[in-house]
Amino acid sequence: MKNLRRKFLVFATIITIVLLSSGCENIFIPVNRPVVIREGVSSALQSDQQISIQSYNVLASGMVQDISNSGSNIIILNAGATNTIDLLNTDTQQLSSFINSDKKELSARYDAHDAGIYYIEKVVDPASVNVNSQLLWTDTNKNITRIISTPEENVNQFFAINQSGQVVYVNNSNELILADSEGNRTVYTPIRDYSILSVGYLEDEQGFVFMAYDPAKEEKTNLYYAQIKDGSQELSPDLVVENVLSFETNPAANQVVFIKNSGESQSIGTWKTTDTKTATIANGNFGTASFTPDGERIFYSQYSANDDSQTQSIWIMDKNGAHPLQVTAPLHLNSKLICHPHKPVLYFSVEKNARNIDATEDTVLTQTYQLTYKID
Amino acid sequence: MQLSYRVRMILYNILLFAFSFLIVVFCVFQGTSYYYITQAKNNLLSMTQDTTLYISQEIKTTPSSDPLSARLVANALYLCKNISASENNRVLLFDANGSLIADSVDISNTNLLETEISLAKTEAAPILTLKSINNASIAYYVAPISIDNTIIGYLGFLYPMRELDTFLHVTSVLFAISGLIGLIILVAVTTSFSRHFFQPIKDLTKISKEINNGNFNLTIYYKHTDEIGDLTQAFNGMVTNINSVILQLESERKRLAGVLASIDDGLLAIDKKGNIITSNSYIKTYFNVSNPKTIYDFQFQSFLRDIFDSLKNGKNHISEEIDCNDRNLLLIGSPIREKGFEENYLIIIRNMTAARHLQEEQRKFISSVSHELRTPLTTIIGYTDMLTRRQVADPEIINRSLNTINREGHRLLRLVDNLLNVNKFDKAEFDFKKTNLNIVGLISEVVEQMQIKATQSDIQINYISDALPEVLGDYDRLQQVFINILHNAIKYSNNGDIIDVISTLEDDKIVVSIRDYGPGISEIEQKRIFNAFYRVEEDRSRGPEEGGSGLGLYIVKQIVEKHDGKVDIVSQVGEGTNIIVTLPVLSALLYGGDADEKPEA
Repeated sequence: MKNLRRKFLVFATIITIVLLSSGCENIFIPVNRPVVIREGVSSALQSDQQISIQSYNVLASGMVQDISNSGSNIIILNAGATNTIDLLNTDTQQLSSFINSDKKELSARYDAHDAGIYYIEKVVDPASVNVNSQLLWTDTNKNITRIISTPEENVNQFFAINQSGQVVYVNNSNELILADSEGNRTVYTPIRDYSILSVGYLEDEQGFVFMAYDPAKEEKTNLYYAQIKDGSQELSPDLVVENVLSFETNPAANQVVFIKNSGESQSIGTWKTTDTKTATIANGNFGTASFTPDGERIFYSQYSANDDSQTQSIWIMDKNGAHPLQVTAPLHLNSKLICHPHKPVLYFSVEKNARNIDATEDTVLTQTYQLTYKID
Repeated sequence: MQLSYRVRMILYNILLFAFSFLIVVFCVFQGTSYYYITQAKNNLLSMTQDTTLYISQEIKTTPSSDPLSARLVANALYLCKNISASENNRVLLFDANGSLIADSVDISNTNLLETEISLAKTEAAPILTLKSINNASIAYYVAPISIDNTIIGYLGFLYPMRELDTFLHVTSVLFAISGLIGLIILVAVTTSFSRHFFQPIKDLTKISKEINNGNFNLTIYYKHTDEIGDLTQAFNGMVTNINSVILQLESERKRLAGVLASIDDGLLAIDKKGNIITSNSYIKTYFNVSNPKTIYDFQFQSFLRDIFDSLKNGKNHISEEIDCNDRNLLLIGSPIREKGFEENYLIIIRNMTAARHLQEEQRKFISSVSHELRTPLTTIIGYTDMLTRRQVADPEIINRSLNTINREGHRLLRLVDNLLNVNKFDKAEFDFKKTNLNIVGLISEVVEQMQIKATQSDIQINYISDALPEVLGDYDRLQQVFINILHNAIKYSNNGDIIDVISTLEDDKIVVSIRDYGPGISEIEQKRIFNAFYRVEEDRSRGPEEGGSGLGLYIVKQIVEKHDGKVDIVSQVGEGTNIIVTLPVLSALLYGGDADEKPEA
């Protein structure tokens, strides 16, 4: 025992002397010795898939809104001295003006058959001087324009189109309206008064997916799902997941991708109407996420970790979160990620001169990009 | 130099603290460095990926037939500035050969990342070198720009690791301060605590010393029930046990000493070397040697050394009788053998003087009794022989002879009676028949009876008495007492003498003195006169016919003592003898027989 104690004391003394004499030299990467880095950034980057960027072009100035179901045209919204909705032919890259108005357009989407475009316009009621948003539809030939929303309605700018061509929108009464370009409309009222921020519609399930403030705790927004049952116009929404920042539906697979706020970081989750639970597939600092048209992959934007310029890089991963691949360098992304319905082409809009924060909104130059990629 | 346990403990603690503290510092520094370096590495890889994509985007945006590497060279400065701006870092761009084509800060130093470039070219992988320039950590990083699986150039970052430096600096200062404070506290606390911990041990040591000095009544007080408490308790228990064992041994020793002291013999236990193990007080009485330490302290008692030597030489039993200082001593020596102990020796010294004297007295008595028996028997046999052989017809001679035979027969009978009485009185169970009696009447009766005999020698007995209370006693035996005394008084008085008998009451006791004016008794004889078989020198008695058995006064003493009284003698040679009998009065006795019972005649 005594011998053991002596050995320990000698050991402790030697270690102490060694530690004292050697100081705190870094033993992982010694100073002045080059080290070859074989590993990737993180395990997520060690992917057996590779993405190559075939082309990367600026298409036009303006913010991309939607792509036609054929993929031949994209809607570009331009806000400036005049507010325009332009259509850009994806093959010829020819830009044609669709709406040129003194009213401000907030968002625009093709209807299901590329027959026309639904869009939201800000109007000032001359009587009350209230600024309202109304939903309009104009056919692609610009011959017919119909106001879909009622004059009393103030429409939320985030609306959706279902596969049968109907528009799904929310009005200031927090009613969910299913309407067509002919002016037929059905109003659905949730049994509780939800303050709805955006809405989506899963046609196969006849279900509304919407993001709304938590009725109990107003500072957080939750994702709800409400099916139309037996033709009833009253909806009983179920809570899907709490603390949701944004979501996108993928009607092809009846699934929803959403970004959930969980404290310091965020996560990307998916949910199918058949699932009772949501699945978290990625953790990080995300901006937006949407399914590819086939529903097999997810495009998402991720904020750069190492600077504070609020740039986001675009990534793509499998729908289960596997094989994340970086698609672009960090950008000042300011649109949704719009996928070509039939080709591996991605459209998005980027703010330029983004460092000129003091500039007014109108002077910020937004450019829409077309990116052709190939995943091997 | 042997350090004290306390100092060693403090030093061990300091060493242990330094060891642990440095381990902690080492782990924190290494862990943090590892964290920051890994973070830097990940950032650099991420920056590489971002930058590669950015370069790819930028050079692909502008349609051109040039190869990508050429387009990189053409746009190098623009790209470099933009990358530097977006990544907030010094950026260097190299062409596919590793030559510097752009530097976001200063293009003059073309050799800055030379080592890393050459290694990156060889390895086709990112290279990181951690450098310390002006005490600032900077990661020198070079990575190939790989677009469409072709390396079109190299990208270099000078990545300052300010956070690592700041952390290490702040942490170093904090660790230095905390280490110093910790060390001071450690030394203070250890010193204080060690004092606290060692106090009970010091107490134990102090008390152990006290106990070593023979003070077994001490205990240590320690209020906590911890290990020290257990030790203290065990120690206190041990001390108490030792104390009780010592007390027990002491008491055993005292008892043994008492036993030894109460032995009527001298006792000497000696070990093999001659040291005295134990002895008792008789040793001093017999040999006048106080507290002998060894057998050789008995300088004048060589016989003891002789016995010791004989025992040492293997003798098992020695018995020897010697005369020493007017004593007749019997020395008995024997070895003390006990299994597991060294052989010791015991010498017992028995005083045989009294026994020898008694033997002598008995021998004298037997001689005396034989003589006393022989004298009347010789007379009787002589007279009967004469009467038988000479055929004496003279009636006067026959009458005188028969009288003599009768007288001698009575003398024999008296002698035998006395012997029987002595035998009787020696028995403890001998029972007196006590009654209330008037001592004056009793003495008067005896005086009257003895006056007849006294008158034959012309001796006058005067009896004077006060009025006396009754005594409790055996009438016949008390009569015998006074008969024997007066008989002796008459026997040793000269013709014409008087004998004064006086009975008085003194201090609740009846004192009877019988005074004769005979030859008196020497002091030596006075001491022996009441002994059995003792007789004063024959020539003092008035004639051979008056000679006694030597039992008269012995019987007197026995009877008086059986009546709770005493008998004394006051005498001087030539001036007579006064025998004083003291008896307790009846009222002084707590018990008594029937008051009405008349004494037997």
